[in-house]
Amino acid sequence: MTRGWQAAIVVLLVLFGVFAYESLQLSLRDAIGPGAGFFPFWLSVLGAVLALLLLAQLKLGRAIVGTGELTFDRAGLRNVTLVLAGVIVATALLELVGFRLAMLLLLIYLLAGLGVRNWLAMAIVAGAGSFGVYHVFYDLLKVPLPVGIFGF
Amino acid sequence: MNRIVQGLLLILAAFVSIGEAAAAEYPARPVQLMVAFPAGGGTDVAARILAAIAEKHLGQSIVVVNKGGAGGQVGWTEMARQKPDGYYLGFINLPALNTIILDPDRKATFKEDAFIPVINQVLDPGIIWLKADSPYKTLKDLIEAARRTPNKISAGTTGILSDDHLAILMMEEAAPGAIFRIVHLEGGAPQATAILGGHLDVAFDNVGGVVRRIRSGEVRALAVLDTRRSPFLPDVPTMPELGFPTVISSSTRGIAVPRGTPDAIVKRLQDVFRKAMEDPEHVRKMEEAGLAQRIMVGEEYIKYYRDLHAKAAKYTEWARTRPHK
Amino acid sequence: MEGFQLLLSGFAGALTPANLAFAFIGCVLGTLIGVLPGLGPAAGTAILIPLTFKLDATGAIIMLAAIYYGAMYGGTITSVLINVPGEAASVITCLDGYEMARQGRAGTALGIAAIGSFVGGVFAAVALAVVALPLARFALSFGPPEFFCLMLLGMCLVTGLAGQSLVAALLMTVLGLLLSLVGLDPVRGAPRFTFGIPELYDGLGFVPVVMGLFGVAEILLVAEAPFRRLAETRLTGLWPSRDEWRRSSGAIWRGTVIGFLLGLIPGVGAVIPTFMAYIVEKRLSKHPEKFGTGVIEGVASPETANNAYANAAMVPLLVLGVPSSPTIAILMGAFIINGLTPGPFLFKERPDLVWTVIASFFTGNLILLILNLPLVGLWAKILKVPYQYLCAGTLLFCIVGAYSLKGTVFDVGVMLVFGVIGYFLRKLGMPLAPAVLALILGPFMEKSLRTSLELSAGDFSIFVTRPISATLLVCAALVIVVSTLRISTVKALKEAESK
Repeated sequence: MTRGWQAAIVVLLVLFGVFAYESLQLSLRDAIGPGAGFFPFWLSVLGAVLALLLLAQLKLGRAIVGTGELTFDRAGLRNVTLVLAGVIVATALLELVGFRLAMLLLLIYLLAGLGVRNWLAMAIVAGAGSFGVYHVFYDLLKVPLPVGIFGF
Repeated sequence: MNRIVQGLLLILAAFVSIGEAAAAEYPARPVQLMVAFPAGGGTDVAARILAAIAEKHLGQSIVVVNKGGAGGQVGWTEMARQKPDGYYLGFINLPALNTIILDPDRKATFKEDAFIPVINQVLDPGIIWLKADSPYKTLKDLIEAARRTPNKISAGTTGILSDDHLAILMMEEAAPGAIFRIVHLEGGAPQATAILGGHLDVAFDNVGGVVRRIRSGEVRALAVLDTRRSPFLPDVPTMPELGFPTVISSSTRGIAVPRGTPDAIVKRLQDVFRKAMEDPEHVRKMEEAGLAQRIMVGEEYIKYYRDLHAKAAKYTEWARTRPHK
Repeated sequence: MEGFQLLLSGFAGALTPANLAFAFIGCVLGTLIGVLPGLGPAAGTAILIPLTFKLDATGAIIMLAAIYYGAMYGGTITSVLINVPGEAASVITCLDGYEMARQGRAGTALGIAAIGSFVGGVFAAVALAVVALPLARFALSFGPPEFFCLMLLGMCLVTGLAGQSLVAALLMTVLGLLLSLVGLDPVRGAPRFTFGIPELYDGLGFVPVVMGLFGVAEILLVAEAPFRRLAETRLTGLWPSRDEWRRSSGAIWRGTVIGFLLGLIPGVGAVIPTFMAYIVEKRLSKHPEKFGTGVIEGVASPETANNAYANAAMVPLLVLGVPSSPTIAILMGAFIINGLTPGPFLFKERPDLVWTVIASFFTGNLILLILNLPLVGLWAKILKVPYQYLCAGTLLFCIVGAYSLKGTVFDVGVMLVFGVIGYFLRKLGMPLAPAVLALILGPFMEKSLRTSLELSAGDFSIFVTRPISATLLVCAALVIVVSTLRISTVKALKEAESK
């Protein structure tokens, strides 16, 4: 169980390192008081100290850790990657192909990928979610959602 | 394979001819008017009033799009990237746009020549104001106090490198020896709170944001930073009247297009928006909103833009090197 | 009390059929806007301003104010049902509200939120009528140094959000603080940690980040293990148990006071009162470790504070003409467009209008309650939809919401990144609340520190020479001392037990 936490701590340490480095490029003090880099730098240092402290607690088995574990099962992992991949692609294409098309495809992909077989319901939901939502926002609320290169 | 190539060429030709047809008949579809600030703000309100009226003269709908962020930088970055085909217009706020270009830390991806100023709508002059019961009754009192106790009188702005900030520097330049303790607030509301609460001695802002408070009597104005008196505040003296003709500062809002837009389209837009701005309904709504209209068109606006850029360059540089910060 | 008399005359105005209708429409529209993602009360209110052009000034303002506090409630609905905070102020409701929904008690959560909102709003309106002017003047004495010390006090209370591991909570706090510093720095206005991306100049954006950490992360968790995450919504009765009523009533009163007091201070945003109320409730509770697992006080407290804040924030607006948040700034714009200037002048010039509006807060809050309580069961039924539709629908909801904030895909990207981060953090059991609080308080603290130092030309003694900020600092120190004592006492007790 602690392996997940250890990995997370390593990631955090790297992150704090990056912040500390960047803050050193900025001034730490200026004429009146702390400069732009002052707080980020010392916060990164504090963060790194806390992270190491947590690591030490884990190693010594004394930490009252949360009930978290980084375990995955195949099916779950498949679903998560499926959803994530779909949403990332849809977002990347959002302004290219337009809201309506991107969301239509995303909704069909997600519903089918997660196991829905009722094609009619899927079609209705996908249509309402893409074209329906677009028109509610554009016509009623005057908030334009992305229109792609195809003109819609 | 041949068939496919032919097919593709045909499609390509179709797209090209559509493009040409569009250029010949401007505007052939709705036009986007970008406001580089969130909905509800001063620029946005004025933009929407104008767009609603200008639509009738243009013959196509004008869609106001908000692209706020980074004090306008996000929206202007976006506009600088757009095609100069007359379908993407944007409001530019000066000197905000200028200081963003001039401040090397901002790393703006565009220069002042990235836009063609088309027509100006609003000119909101700078104003120096303070609490009604403040000991400084005139601008002279304030300057003298700032000379007697340099870096003690706190003067508030509505943002770092805002037109208010530059105005304070202009004031210090025109009245040597007077040094203010410059305090940056984030916008008009915090500035008003600071003044009313007695945390700030004096504030530099623009007429539009303060006129109502002055009318209600809780605050007073010492000077308007313009060449003529404000119609909203006829009793407040101007800087030239008070002996400081160089301390002129305003915030302006006008429409611009990306560099490279054909002259014919620019002329058409100038025509359309000028008619819209001269429309009595526009004049009335602007007045109700407390926004001072000042139409500048074509060469006049371009000259204003260039002159302001040069002026801003000087004070932006000084802001960075000023010892008292 | 003159205020009371004026209030009664205000009721005469507020209870006209026309004004009641406006309040009703405002509540309905407000709730809908609050439910809609991302838009938030600010943009939603802005969009509806043109509607009010056709109405008379009083009616317009009554409607807009109703939209405003109606939207506060709408944001709660999505927080409870799908763990997506519709707007910043609803974030903390996600913690216990969503957990209650997972246990099939969404109706109860929404119900207590509605009741708490009503009590908070009405009490704030009463207090407003009675003590508006003197309190407003007092609130003005909160300058940048006082602000900083107030935020500092808030940060010290973060230990109240710590779950099992204090070090983990502190670690998350530091992370939140660091992330909050992304953007233009308050010293020179130069970009910091932005890697050249102008969209980051204003910071990561609180709403996309929390929509990701809470909403998107939850979707990923549901997709991974749908039957473990979602409970059978058997709707175990919509009414809270007697014990829950008792606990909630305490939470509601405390939330009201906290929300009201903080609402009076110009410039305090809506998120801070909800966090403070929640933390205070948790500290005073006999079983603080249960917070976050679906305790009713965890919903009652922030929701009440929310509405008390919303009504109290009208005070700086009406009395001083100073808007406390972007949404209220838009309300102020509505005043101005209708030819009215909020401020002391307005009280003198149009007292009839002002007191009618204040009286309408009562009627509006009542209407909100009557409107929403019956619908609570209906909202809860949404959760019966098969999980695939819930996932897909919520994702769509989040994408539209994040995009409509500023009209840029970048915010959607930020939301997704934090969705992934949130997913891992939730799996590990790392506490999110401290990071979120830090994310909100960080920029306020740094900016008010900077402004304070500009005011004092670098002299740090400004914080101790001013009475209010000195008092707040002492309170902050006390909080830390008490927390440390608590922790070491608990540790000592535990060790004694295990011997």
